[in-house]
Amino acid sequence: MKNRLQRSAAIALAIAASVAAIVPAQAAPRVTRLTPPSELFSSGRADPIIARFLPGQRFDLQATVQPDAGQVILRYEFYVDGQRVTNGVMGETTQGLVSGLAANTKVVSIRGYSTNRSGVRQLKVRAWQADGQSVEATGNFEIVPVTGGGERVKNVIIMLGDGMGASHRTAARIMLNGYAQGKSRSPLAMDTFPQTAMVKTASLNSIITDSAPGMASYVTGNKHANNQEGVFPDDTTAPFDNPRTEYLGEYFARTYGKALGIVTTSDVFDATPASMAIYTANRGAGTGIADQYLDDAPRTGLKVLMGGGRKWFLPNTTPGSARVASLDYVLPGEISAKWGSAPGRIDPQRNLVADFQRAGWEYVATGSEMNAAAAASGRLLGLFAYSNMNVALDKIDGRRGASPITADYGLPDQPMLDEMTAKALDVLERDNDGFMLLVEAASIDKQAHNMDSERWILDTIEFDRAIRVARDYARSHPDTLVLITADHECAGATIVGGSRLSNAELQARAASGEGAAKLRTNVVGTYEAAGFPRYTAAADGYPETTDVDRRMLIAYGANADRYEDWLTNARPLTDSQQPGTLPVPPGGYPNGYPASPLARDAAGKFLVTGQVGDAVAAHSGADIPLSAYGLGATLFGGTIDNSDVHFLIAQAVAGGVRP
Amino acid sequence: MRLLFCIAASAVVFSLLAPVPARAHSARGPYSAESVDLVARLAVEGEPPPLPAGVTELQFGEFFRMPAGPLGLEFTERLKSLDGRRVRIVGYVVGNDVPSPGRFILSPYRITLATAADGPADDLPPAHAYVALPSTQAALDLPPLPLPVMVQGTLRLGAQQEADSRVSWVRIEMDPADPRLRTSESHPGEPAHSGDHIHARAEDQR
Repeated sequence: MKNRLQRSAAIALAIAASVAAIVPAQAAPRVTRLTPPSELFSSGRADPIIARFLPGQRFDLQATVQPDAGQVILRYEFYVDGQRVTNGVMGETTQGLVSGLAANTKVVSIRGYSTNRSGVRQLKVRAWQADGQSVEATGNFEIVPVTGGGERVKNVIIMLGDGMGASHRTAARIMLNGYAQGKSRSPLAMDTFPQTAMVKTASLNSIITDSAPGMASYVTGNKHANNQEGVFPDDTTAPFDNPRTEYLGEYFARTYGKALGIVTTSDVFDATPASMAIYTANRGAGTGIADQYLDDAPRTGLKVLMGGGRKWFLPNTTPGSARVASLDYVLPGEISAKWGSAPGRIDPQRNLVADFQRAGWEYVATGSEMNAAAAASGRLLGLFAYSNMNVALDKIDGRRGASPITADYGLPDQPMLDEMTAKALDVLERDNDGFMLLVEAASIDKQAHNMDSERWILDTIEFDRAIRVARDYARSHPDTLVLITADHECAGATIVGGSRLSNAELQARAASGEGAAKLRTNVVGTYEAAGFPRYTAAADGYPETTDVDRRMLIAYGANADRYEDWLTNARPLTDSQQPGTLPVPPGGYPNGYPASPLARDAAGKFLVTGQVGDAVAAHSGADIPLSAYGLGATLFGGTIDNSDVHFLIAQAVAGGVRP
Repeated sequence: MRLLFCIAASAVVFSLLAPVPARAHSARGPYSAESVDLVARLAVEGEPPPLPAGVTELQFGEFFRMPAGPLGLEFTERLKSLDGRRVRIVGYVVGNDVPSPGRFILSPYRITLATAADGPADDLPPAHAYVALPSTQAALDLPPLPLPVMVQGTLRLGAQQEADSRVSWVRIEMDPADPRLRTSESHPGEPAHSGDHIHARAEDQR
């Protein structure tokens, strides 16, 4: 019996094999990607709905269709709820595709689709290859309705502390205000916001987001892949042709005529600021990103752009420029046709500062110039550094005459973030239709990456001062909504306790070279041994010194290897993008700018081994707190997805808020 | 001798690479033994030797006026005065995932560019110099080192389009008479080393 079964099985296998040999591996074309992304397409399950849009918000439909061998895709059609889509502009390409696709694979698109029909909508694509065989694929998306009839918000200010988790806020409060018998002596400005929500930050392709999708989700309502800004993934290699999701600022500009402002302490091409207005799959494409700020300003409503990043605005023949042809942009015709975007041009020799000025923008390069700027045209461009601006600790020490860092960088006159915020509001409030403003404290994240505790804490304090400016504006302009949030948490930074030692004792131990025995044991005070670290604020609003007795101690949960001595680092890590801070080899870094956290604080020989294999700490995946103030603040609460914020802002602006 | 002017033993040089963490996307093919040998002979540690006659010492910190102006960086008068003259400068060979035979970038920092992976993004310091090897070594693609190297040659200023799509502002044509550039006798067993172990800038921030 057993032998007969085995023989039968063998015969069956032989038949199956012979059939497989004469039947082609594929019998029809295949749809291997359908955009917007959906679980219905990916897994066959209707939930959760991945892609959501506002009524009238534009987005691209796209499919990747792979034909059988020797075939080509002749025709394709998109359907929403069974109705063929005709209100977009069609586009298709078989060129410039990623590797691994079948020959003659075609990426087909409908650009700039929108609908006002709320609810879950079914998306279907159908494609035919030359031999007449066809394929269908189905996905879904949701149109989230806006409820009218309430009092509408005119201005929206998003205060974005890049990488700022709950611990970053708490550390700033402890350092700035201190605690007495368990109570903070006074609140941070951000503590005074009445509404709080917890925000989930995962991206389209990871539980750990980077800044691009982390920011974009707030203002597109959708999930994006890491490193991508305002677009969905596709199967082309071009960075500026991905399927788009309309940004809220652009939607507001198009629908209500609102202005857009972007203020950051980073390079303005960086992922967070660019994810307010730029559509690209490559967050590093600085030349094209900077160009698009100006080229699409009439469409996005951009009227204020301030931060670092001058290197992208200088012609490539000018020393200090970083403009290169391979990072520039040219759009497919169907995107320009439907979205109204400038077509773009490969022009690394472009003088973008001059072009901004020709378009009526006032350009300022220093804090003094910014303060003096009239911005009579209602447009202000401020580029205060070639790359990222200096951090608050170094700017403040520079103003106090206590540190040469900003002078070393060659940029001694950089504004503080609260000053930039005030100036941006001064310019934007001239717009009668209202505005949307992003203010980003970028180096909370950058210094948390570097595990430079005092630097990110002071940047959080600087951010809080900017928040105070925004809150005070909302107090005097009650049709304004102010949100404080973060794109993600960085480094898993947390407050581990307080030092048991005086500063002098800690300095001595840091020089001892005896490692953990001197710098951990009997140093790190936990629980009641942490006590209440006391710092003293100076007249400028920042701590007189961060090297106090019994200081607060910070630990990192997503850390790279580092040496730790708990002392304030005299200098930040080397930043290769600054025109100054140049070590003069041989001899390493004689002017004291360490190359990495392993090249810093080494004298104490207290090596903290990290879980992360990179040179610096990584982002962490905890939910982050969001605070809301002003008209519409009551819409925010509970535990929400970052993409929910988009719809809540839209409700406040487009639908209004009921008492 | 305070200067390791000629480190002929390539193995010694590359043993210094071991502690440096790798960058995943900087993989590229191996360097030739001749390239390894040449960069090893350019390596320098400690004080440089006395300047040869007719050669001026130059440092990266002397490239641009400080503080910076409102737009681009401006050459210092000292740099401009050395245009067309023989200079000596110490820096690091910039790593790259794209081969560049006969030419390398000299930087004040140890960095590796991921040109193929990311495009010519923003890791290159503003103060850098494109260095041209003599025509006899135009086929050599130098690997980066954890040690600085000393370059001697003629300084050329002004914008020039480079093959990597960047525009250079400062170039040095290496002096063919430099004794360190003499072709080595024999280097069996190439390829000698992959540059994968060179780390980029300290930051990997996203």
